[in-house]
Amino acid sequence: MRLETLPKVADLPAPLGQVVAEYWIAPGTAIAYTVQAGEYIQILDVAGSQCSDFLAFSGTDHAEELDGTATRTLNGLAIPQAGLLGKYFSQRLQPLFEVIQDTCGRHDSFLLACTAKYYEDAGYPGHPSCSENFNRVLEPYGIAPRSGWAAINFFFNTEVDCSGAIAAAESWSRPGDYVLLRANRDLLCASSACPDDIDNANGWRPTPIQVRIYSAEESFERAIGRRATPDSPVRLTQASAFTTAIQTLTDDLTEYNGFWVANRFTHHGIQAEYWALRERVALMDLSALRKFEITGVDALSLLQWTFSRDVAKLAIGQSVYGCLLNPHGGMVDDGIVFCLGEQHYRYVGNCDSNLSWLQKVARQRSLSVTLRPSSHEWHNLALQGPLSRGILRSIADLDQGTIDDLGYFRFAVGKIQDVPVLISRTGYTGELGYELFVHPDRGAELWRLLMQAGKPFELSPLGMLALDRARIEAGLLAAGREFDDLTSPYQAGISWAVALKKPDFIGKAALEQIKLRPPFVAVGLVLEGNEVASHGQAVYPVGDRWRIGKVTSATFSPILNRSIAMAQVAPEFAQLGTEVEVGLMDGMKRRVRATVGTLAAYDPTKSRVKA
Amino acid sequence: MHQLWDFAGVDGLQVAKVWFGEAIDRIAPFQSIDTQLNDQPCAVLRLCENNFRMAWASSDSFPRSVPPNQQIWLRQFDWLGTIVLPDSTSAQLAAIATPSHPTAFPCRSTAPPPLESTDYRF
Repeated sequence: MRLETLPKVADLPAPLGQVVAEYWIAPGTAIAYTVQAGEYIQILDVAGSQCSDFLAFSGTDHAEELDGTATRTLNGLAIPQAGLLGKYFSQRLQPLFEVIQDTCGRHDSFLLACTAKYYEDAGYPGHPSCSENFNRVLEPYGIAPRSGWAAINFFFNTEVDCSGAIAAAESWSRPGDYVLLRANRDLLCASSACPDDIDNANGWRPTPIQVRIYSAEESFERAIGRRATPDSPVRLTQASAFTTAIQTLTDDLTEYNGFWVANRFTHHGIQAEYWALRERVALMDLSALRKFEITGVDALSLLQWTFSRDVAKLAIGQSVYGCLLNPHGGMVDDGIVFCLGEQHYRYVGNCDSNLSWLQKVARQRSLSVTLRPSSHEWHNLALQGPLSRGILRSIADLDQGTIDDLGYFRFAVGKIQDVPVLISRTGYTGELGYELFVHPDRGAELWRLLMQAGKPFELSPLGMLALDRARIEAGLLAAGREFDDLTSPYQAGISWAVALKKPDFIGKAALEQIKLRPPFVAVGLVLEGNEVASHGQAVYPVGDRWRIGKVTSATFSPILNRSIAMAQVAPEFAQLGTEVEVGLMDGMKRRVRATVGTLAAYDPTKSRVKA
Repeated sequence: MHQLWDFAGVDGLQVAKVWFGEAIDRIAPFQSIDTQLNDQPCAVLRLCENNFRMAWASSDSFPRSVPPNQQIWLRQFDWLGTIVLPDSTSAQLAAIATPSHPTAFPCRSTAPPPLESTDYRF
C-alpha cells in the first residue's frame, strides 16, 4: 500500500522566490523546457530518493551542450559544488549554468542516463528509460536521438571506489531536497523523473520531480545544505559577521563547516599570508567554530563526565583544550572549555551535534544543567603572530588587567574602541595569538578596527590554505584528518589532554586500556627530498612491505624548508629518530625515506605561543 | 629583448631559492618579482609551488646551470613569447582575471587566459 502513496503538491516546500514557470514531472517520464539567461532552475525531489537526470543545450545553438567530462576537468571535482567551483560547462568549455544551492550533495556525472540497454541487460526489455524519454521530448527541437545520454544525474548516488569501480546505491536525497541552478545563457533543458524501479537507485519506487523556474530578477545566495544530525533540518552555508569585509579582499571562498571562509586573499596568497603569520601578524575569520553555553549547578559535573580534561581545575577566566569522548574512548570532537563562572562554562568546538550529545548525557545522568547554542551570538577572529600583542596593546581595553597580563589559555572581556569583545589567548597556528569573540552585529566594525590598527604592523588577512600549512607545522589536530570518533586521544597525539586521575568520565575505562598500548600513536615525520605526502598514504618500515601506519596530514614547511607530515604509526616505530618510509603513489613505485620526530615539527616546546 | 626561460620539477622551489634568494618563496602563484641575473634585469613569475618562468633582459646564453641532484627541467618554449600592453589595459584585464583578483590587476601579477564569458566572481 505504501508503494502507491505519492506526495501531494501541497506537501512541497514553499517556492524560494518569484516563480515564472513550474513543471511537474510524473514518475518515469521526462520534459524539455527553455530558460533564459539569469533565470534559476530549481529541481526538487518531491518524495525523496528520486533521481532526476538533466541535459542542457545552448539556446542559440543546440550543438553546444552540457559536457560532464569538461565540467569535471575544469572544476577538478566529480560534481560542481555551490561556490567558486560551481559551474557546468559545455564541450566548448563555456559555462552553461551554475549550481547556486544544493541540499543533497550527492549526484552523478559519470554514468549515462538510464538506457533501454541497461534494462534489457537486466532482463526487462521494453522498460522505459530516461534516455528514451529524453529522445522523445527533444525530438520537437530537432535534436537527434541517442542510445544513451551523457547527462548530469541529480540525486543519483554513485561513487568511484579505490579499485575504480563505480558503485550506485539509493539516493541520499530526502523529500524536499533540491538543486538550484542559474542559467548563464539561454538554455534548452531536459529533466527526468527516472523510471528505474528495478534496483535501489530510486528506492525501488519512482516518484515525481518538480521543476520551478525563478525570475532572473531574483538573487539567491550560494549555499550548500547540510544536516548536523539525522533529524536536523538542512542548514545552508552562512556568511559570518566578517564575510562582507572579506569579500572585498578575495573571491576565493570555500565552504567550511557551514560557513563561507577565505581560502586565500588577493595580492597576498598562501606564501605571503603564511610568512605574515610567522614573522608579523595575520587575521582570520574562525566563526565556523560552534559555541555552547553550559550553565547550572551541574554544569561542572557534565563537563567532568564528558570532557577529557579536569575542568574543576579551571579558574574563572581560564580555558583548557581537550576533547569530548565516547564510551570506547573515541574523540567526538576537540575544543576549548572556557570557565566564565562557577556555574557557567562555554564550549567552543566544531560540531552542532555536540549539543544533542551533551543534552542526552545530561538527561541520562539527571543533571541540572542548561545547554544553549550560542554560535549565533559569538563570531570570532583569530589575530595570530608575534606582533599580535602589539596590535592589541594599542587598541584593546580590558575590564581587568592589560593585554600584557593575559596569560596562555586565559581570557578577558573588554573593548576594542567601543566594540565589546572577549579576548582569549588561544589559537591554531603555533604562534603567539589571540581569538576575539564579538557579537555578529559588531563584527564588521571589529574587522575594520583590527585591519586599521594592524597597518603599521603589516597585518595580513589569513586564509585557510596558509592556516593549514601553519597548523601542520605546529602539530595541531584537524577533525577528519587526525581524529574521528574511532580515534582515541592517545592515537591522535593529545594523550596529555586526558585526565585519567579524574574519578570517572565517559570512555575512561576504555582509555585506561588503550593507554597501555594504543594501536597507533601520532608522530611527526620529516621526509627526505621535496615531495609532499598526502593524507592516507601508508608508512612502511625501511625495506619491508607491510604497513605500520599512515600519513594524516602533510605539507611543505617554508620555515623549515622541509617536506613534513603528521602520521599515526604503530608504537614500535614511534621513537624519535626512527627511520621509516612513506609510500607515494601506490606505495611501491616510490618510497621516500622519513625520520620520526615530534608531532610539532615547528617549535615543539611551544615557546612561541607561550611567549 | 627578453628571453623567456621556464623551469619546473619537484625541486623547482629549491632551485629558485638558490638562484634568486628566499624572496622567491614569499610570492604566490601568478605573482612575480623583479630581480637580476648576471647584472641584467630578470622578472621571475611563479606558476605554482615548483614551476617558474623567467623573463631575462639579455640575449646571452642562460648563465646558470641546474645544481647537482636537483630534479628540474630548464627550457625555452619556442612557441611562447611576450607582448607589452599599455597600462590602460589594466582595468580590462581585471575583469577577466582569476578568482583571486576581485578588484584590480596590480603590478607583478598575472592571470591565465579566461574562458570566454566566464565570470569567476564569487
